[in-house]
Amino acid sequence: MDTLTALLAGFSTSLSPANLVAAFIGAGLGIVIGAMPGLGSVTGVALLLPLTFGMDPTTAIIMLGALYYGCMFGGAYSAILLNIPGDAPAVMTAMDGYPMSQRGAGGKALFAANISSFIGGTIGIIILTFMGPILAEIGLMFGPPETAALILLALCSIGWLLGENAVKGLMATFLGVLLATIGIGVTFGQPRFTMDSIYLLNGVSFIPLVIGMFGFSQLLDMMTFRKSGGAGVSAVSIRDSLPAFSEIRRLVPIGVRSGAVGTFVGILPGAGATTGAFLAYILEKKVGGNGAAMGSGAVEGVAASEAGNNGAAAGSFAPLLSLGIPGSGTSAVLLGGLMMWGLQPGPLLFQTRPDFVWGLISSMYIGNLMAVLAAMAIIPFLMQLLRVPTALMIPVITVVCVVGAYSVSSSMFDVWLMIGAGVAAHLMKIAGYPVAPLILAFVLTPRLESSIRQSFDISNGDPFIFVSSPISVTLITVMLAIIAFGLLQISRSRNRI
Amino acid sequence: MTGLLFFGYGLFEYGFWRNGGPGAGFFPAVFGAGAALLAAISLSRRNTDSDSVGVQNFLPVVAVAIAIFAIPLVGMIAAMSLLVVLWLAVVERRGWRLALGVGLSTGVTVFLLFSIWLQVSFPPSVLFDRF
Repeated sequence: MDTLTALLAGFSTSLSPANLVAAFIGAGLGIVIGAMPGLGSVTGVALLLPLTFGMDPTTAIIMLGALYYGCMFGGAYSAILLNIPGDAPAVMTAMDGYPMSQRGAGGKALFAANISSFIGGTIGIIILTFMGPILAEIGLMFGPPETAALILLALCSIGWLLGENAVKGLMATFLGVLLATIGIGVTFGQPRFTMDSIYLLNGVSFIPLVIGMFGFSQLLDMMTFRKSGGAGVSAVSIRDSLPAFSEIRRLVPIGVRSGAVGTFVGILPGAGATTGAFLAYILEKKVGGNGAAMGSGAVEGVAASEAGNNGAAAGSFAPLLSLGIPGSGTSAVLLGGLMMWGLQPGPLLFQTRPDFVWGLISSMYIGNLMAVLAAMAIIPFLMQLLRVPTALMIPVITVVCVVGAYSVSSSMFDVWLMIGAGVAAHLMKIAGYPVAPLILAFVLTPRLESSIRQSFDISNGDPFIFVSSPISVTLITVMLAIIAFGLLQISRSRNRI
Repeated sequence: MTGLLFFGYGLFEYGFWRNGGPGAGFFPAVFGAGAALLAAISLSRRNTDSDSVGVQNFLPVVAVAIAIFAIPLVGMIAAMSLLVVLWLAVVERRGWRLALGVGLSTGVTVFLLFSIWLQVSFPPSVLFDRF
C-alpha cells in the first residue's frame, strides 16, 4: 500500500506539464537516435546529458529515462527494415524482423516490435515498482562465479539454438570469442593480437562490427536480388500490416515472459539490454510454440527480443536507484548525471528524495506510453521505405553504413573494419555459417573472461568456487544438459551422413 | 588456421595459466583449439549446400573503397553524395536527374544529422573545409 501511495504521489510529479513535455521530447529523440546505426542509448543519453545541466533533476532524469526507452523502440526499426541493428540489443530483432520485411510482413514486424516493446517495458516497470530494492539485492547475489556460469550457459546455448547446423553455429560462436580477445582487455592489461596497431589496442570496435556483419553484408546479398531482378524487400499497405486481434493476443504472453526475463537480466550488474534480449529470445525459442520457425522470420522472435530489451532497460534502474550500481552502460551514464545533480543513489535515496525516485518510476510508465504512441505514429512513414526499390536502397544504405561506422569514434579504421566484417559475414552466409552467434559471443566474452579470472582470484585458484553456490550449480547443470543435447544432435547428423 | 594461430599464441606467448588462474592466453588457446577442431569436423563433411560467390556482389566494396580514397580530396559528405550519384547514374542507369536528387538529399541529411546535430567531426578535405 505504501508503494502504491508513493507511486501515486510520483504521478503527481511526473504528470506536471513540464515533465510531460520532457518525457515526450526524450521519447521522440530516443526513437530517432535508436534507429540510427552506430548510435545507441549510451550515446543518446551522453549527448543529452549536458543539455539537462540547468534543469530540475526530476525533469532531467524523466527526459533521459524516456530517451532510454525511445532508443529501445527505435533500435528495432533499422533492424527490421534494413537489417542494420540501430543498437546492440536489436541484433536479435534483425534475425526475424528483416526476413519478415523481405516477405512483405515488415509492417507487421514493426507493429509487433512496438507492441511487445511496450508490454516488455511495462512488465519491467511494474516489477521495478514493487520489487526493485529486493531484486537489486538478488542481483548482488550474482558474484563472479555465478555470472561466469550464466554467461557460459548463454554461450553454450548460442551455437545450438541459432543455427540449423550445430557445428557451424559453434564455429561462429568460437570465432566471436576469439575476436573479443583482441586488444588490451581490462582483466589482464596485456595487448593480444593487436599486430602493433594502435587501432586494435582497444579491441575490435563493436558498432562497426555489427554494422558490417548485418548491414553491409546485407548490401552484398542485395546485389544478388538486384541481379536476379527481384526486389530485396516487398512492400504492402498499412492496412495489411496491422496485426489482427488474435495476433496481438498471441504477443501478450511472449511479451510478459520475455519482459520478465529481460528485467531480471537488467538488474544484473553489467549484463545490459543485449543480454536481456538474447536470453529472452533463447527462452522463447525453447518454450514458445513456434520456436522452430524463429530465426527465419517469425513474429515471435521480434516480440521476444524487443520485450526482452525493454524489460532489461527498466530492470537496470533497480540496482541504479536502490544500490547506486549501474546495471548497464546507459545507466552508468545516468549515474553520472544523478551525481552531477547532487543526488547519491542508494538505499537512502528512497528516504531522502522520494519525490525524485517515485517521480522517475511513475514517469517510466508515461515515457513507455509516449514512446509506443510516437513509435506507432512513425510506422506509416517507415512503411514508405519498404516501397523504395532495391537499386535505390543499395547506395543509400552504403552511406548509412559508412557514416554510422565512422561516427562511433571518428576513425576511418572503423570504416575499413566495417567493410571487412561485411565481406566476412557475406562469405559466412554463403557457406551456411550463422552470423548472430559470432556477434553475441563477442559481446559476452569480455565479461566471461573477467568473471572467471575474478572467481579464481577470490578462491585463490580453487576451481570448486564454480560449484559452491546453488545458483551456479543450477546454471552449470543446465549448461551440461545443453552440451549433451548438442553432442547428441551432432552424432545423429553424422549418422544421417 | 585462425584457430591454430590463436591457440599457439595463447599457449606459448600470452600465458595460459598464471598466478593460480587463467592467464591472458587461456581464452585464445582454448577457443582457438576448439575452432580448429570444429573446422576439421566441417572439412570432413561433404558440403553441398554452399552457394557460389558472385564477383559482382562485391561491387559495393569497390565503390566504397573508391569513395574512401576520395574523402581526403572532397570530404566525407561530398564523397558519400558522389557515391550515391555515380552508383545510381552509372551502375543502375537511373538517369542523372534522379541520381542527383537522391545524392543531394543523402548529403544534406547526413550533414544535418551527423555534422550539425551530433557534431561528428569528419576528416578534413583539400577542396572543401567542411564538406
